[in-house]
Amino acid sequence: MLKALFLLVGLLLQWAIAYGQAPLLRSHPNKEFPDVKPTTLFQSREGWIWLGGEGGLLRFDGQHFEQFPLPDSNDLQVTAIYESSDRLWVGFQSGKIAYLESRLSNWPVANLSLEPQPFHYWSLEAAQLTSAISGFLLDSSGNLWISTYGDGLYCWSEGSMYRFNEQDETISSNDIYQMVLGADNRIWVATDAGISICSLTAAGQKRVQRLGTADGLPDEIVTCLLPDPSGNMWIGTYDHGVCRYNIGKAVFDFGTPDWSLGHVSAMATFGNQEIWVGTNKNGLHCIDIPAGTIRVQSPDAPIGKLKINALLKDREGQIWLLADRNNLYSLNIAFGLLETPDKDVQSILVDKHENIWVGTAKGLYLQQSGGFKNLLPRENILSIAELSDGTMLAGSFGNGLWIMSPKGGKIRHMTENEGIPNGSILSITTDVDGFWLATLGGAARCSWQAPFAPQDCICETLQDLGANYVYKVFKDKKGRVWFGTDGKGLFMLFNGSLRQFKEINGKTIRTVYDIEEDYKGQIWFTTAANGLYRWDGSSFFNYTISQQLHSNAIQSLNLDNKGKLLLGYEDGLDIFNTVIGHVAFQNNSTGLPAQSFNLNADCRDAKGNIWLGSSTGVMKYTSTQESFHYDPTPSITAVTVFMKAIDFSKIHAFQYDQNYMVLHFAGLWFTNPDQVRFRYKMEGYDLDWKVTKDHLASYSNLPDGHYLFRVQTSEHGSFDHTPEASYAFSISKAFWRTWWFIGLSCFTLAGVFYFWINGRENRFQREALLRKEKADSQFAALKSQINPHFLFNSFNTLITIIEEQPKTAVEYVEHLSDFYRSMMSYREKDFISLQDEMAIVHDFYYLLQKRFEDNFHLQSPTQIPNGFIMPLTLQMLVENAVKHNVISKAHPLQIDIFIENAQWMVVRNNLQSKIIADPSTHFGLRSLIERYSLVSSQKVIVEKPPPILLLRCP
Amino acid sequence: MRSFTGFNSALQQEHFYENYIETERYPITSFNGKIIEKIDFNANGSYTIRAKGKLFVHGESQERIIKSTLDIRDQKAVVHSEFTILLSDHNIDIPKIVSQKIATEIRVEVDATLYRKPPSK
Repeated sequence: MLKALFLLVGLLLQWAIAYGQAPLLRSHPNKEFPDVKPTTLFQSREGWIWLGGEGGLLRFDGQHFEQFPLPDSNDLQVTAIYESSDRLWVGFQSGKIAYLESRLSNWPVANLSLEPQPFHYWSLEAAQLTSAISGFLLDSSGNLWISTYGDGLYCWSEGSMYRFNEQDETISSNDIYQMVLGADNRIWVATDAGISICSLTAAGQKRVQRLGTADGLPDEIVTCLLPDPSGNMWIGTYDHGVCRYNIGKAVFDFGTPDWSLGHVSAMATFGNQEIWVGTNKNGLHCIDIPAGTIRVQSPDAPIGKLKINALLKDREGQIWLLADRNNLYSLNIAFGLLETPDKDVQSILVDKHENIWVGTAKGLYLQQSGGFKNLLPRENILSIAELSDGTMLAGSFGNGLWIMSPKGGKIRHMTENEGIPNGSILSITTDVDGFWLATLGGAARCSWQAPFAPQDCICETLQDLGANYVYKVFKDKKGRVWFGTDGKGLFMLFNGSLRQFKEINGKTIRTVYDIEEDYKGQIWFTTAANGLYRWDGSSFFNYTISQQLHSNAIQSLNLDNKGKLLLGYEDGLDIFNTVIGHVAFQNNSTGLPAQSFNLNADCRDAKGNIWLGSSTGVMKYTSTQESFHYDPTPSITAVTVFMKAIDFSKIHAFQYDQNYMVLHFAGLWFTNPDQVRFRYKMEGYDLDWKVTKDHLASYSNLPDGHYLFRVQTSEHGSFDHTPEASYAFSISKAFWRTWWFIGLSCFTLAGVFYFWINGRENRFQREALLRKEKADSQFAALKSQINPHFLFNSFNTLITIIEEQPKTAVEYVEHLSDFYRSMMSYREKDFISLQDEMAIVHDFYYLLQKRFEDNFHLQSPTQIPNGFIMPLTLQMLVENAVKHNVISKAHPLQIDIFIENAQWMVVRNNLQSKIIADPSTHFGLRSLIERYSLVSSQKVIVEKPPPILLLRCP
Repeated sequence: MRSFTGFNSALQQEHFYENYIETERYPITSFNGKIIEKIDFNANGSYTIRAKGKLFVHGESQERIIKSTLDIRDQKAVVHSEFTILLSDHNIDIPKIVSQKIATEIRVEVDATLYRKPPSK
């Protein structure tokens, strides 16, 4: 039953053998690593394209290939590549599996040598795989599925390995070509014996459903599978082409009977509209899903001859191919070139039956079932239009208007003699029961009486416009008719009144070439020298090269029905996405098959695709709803500190001496890698953005602080609204610059300074005190020595001696004068030698001895050491002793002066206190003690063990 | 290997064996594989089958799926197959100077008759 249904459906579908539009093949030769012959392609999340095959693993950035080192240099044949959330997986022909941490997969290969072992083998005791790995998949439950070519299917779930193979009668064959995840969340596996749909229940049970020829599969040998966005599964087979399985309804609802294009080797979808099929000897073909037709590439076109091994659709909407002997190609499948018999196309129209009408200098061509038929040979056709009933209109250069039937039969030929203003008709637009002509002699409206009878068609020239060139006539949805003229600007006709737009925003618009209306009802028009304008009903907006347009001389303007403008130039095409405000330029080097577009040679078909006439044929732009990347993706690929790479995903803080940093970045843009420019800025260091084409920024001596490194990419030089990648990090201060260190040092310094000042103060104070004391004591000594008592006693003694012993008296006077002289001279000194002091003491003793005779004895050391003592110290002590003690025959006074311990001068006398003490202030002793304390650290010690008085002086 | 026939001339045959296939070095050309379709060899009939296996030519093995027709008639099965061998797949080089005269692929036709072995007594 199912089979019958399938056959029925197959018959109903159209099978167009007409050759499709060929996209341009761009070749990316791998010259750097000729030993690597890739057979599998993969694009990672960061955007890099990975190629694996015999000889190893390569990574491609659009311009250069880099080879990644694999763990075993003898086992280099890579057969599968996959990326999970944190790892890049690689499967080998030998059955081994290795993985690389995702962050390392972005590093430049040169930095990988800094990691001890980037790739690790994934080893399992549970199962030893020995057959080539053909694919990896992570399902929504987190299970890892591994398909092999020869060993069946494996599933790694929660620590256990499950095996599906022929032996346990789950899957139909052990050789798995491809494994995909279906919309039903089951694993679809393509083998030589049909399709096996596998799943693992939560309880660990294996479930398999098989699809084979009995179910409607056209061929048991299934070589590829591709789930599409609507939830269907596309199936590529060995001999019977492509078919589609509707999972929901469990039927096959599309097929390609009579397929003769070889084995299907790979497939890719393009929105919901196209399936691109790669074959093993006939190149690449495109299945138009809504129409159910296949656009076959001509076998003579380069793309029709390729042996395709792998296909990859990238994030920018391009298709990559590995073909023939492992050559890499890329195609921009949005653009296809249709070659016409006469290449220089002046006008183009796709009618509602999807027939293609092409006007050139050599005639009007209609494409039908494989070929082009020239309906108006030798006519120079400039414009084509279609009326609501299917009648076709063709305007020529100098020879007026042709009215044709939908199949191309001529109905009428109108020339200047029949009422049209000029024989050169540049543009035609339809109106309610009529149409407008834009000619080199003004504009005219043609109409007829209902029902349509072209023989009755009459034309009326629009008088107010004047007789000059009209390049374009356009009718918008509101019923207004617009005219683009040469020299007089833009005109609008509404409700019978004509309005001229010549001065716009201060500029004079003379020549308007093309006029279109977008889905919002805004009017766009192109001018000869002022670029593009948009009118939203009240104001005009201008777009020129300042808004990133390629040039101000726009040859053709067209809009798809999704907000994109296509601007054709003589040397390329701009795609202006008005919704996001982004302009992308394309030409041959980005994969555009045609690049020199002719004036106003463009049309939009019923599906929203845009057809552009160029000097090399007709180029078709297929617009799609799929959102592709339209900006290069910036990413920071490595950070090195003093040339040593660091893991910058984890490390964000550095020491003060880790400040020579080089940051590597990449901007992946496969559409036009040569045009990628970067600009970067180190927030916290750089004052402004730096624009460069290099892939690194280096900073050789960063001071401490917090930084944010930002890098942006652009493919056209303007960096507004471009994506950005950044890295934040900080460098800590050297310890000698930290706050606490500086604070502490300052504080310490201040403290030291304070104490030093204080010490000086103290010293000054002490010195001042010393001087005072000295002055005081000198004064006191002087006073005491001029003490009348002493003088009186001395003279008394003298008197007694003079008469009896005149010689002694002379001696006495000599000693007295010596004593006074010494006292006077030593008075000012701070220290005098011990010898000098002893000399004074001896003089004093002599004087006293003469007075007291035998009642007074002084013992002094015979050996007087070197030393210094304060002047008059000993003398004063002796004087004190004499003053305070009784000296009589009964009580003689004995004074001993001796040296103790080489440090002390000791004066000892036996204590005999007077009963009536002389008034004494004790000043002398006190002063002595004070003075000594100022000068020396050792103190004068007074001891009074009766009956002895002892004084020690240091 | 030397059992091929159908050459255009004796010289072509000589070149084929000596210079291209180099049968001195590679006397055996073989195909080892299995039939993908499930065939009941007891039932008479004509079947189109595909065999997948390794085709070994000139020292290089290439995995191929080769289509053949299988005619089963009582005690014998007749196999007929036509396929091409690409010279580049098997490391066979043609000197550039004669490359214009020589095709890049070999068209092979195989006819084989298999006899059912009588059951051993």
